[in-house]
Amino acid sequence: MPQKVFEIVINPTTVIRVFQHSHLGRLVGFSVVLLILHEDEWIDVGRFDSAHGTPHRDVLGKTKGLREKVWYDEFTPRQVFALAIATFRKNHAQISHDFLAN
Amino acid sequence: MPKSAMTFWPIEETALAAEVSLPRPDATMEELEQWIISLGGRELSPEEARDLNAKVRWADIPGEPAPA
Repeated sequence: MPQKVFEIVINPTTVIRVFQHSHLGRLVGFSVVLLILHEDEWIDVGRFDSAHGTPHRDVLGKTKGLREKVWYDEFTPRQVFALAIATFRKNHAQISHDFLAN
Repeated sequence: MPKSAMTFWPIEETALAAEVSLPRPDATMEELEQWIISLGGRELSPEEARDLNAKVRWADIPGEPAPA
């Protein structure tokens, strides 16, 4: 099951890293992670993935850890995959702020 | 997420789609990869990915391994 990894650099301290597993043209697994450079360390402040058999978003907090899981039962993995990248690209500043505040 | 009538995307995601130009829900893997590239993305080599991922302090999410 081949895996590809992509990176979208938003700015020098913010990147989106995309892990996608495909098989015969089908997306069979993915993780989309928002990373920030905070206190000289890269940390993930938000994550969408297909673990547990259903695409979902892990809402994270610096202190609280996993704050919430948002399940996308009505979407295909491919839709959530694209939504994840778009959401992080558009809202990375707010997501990072919320992470650091929690 | 509010339930709403939709053909491809619900209302909130449609607004996001208009801003970020989401791909079609039935886009092929190749089209998705091209879309990522169009957003300024690039594919990492296995070595690059391994080196970069090793520098991340991954969140500890119960039941989920780190993506790398």
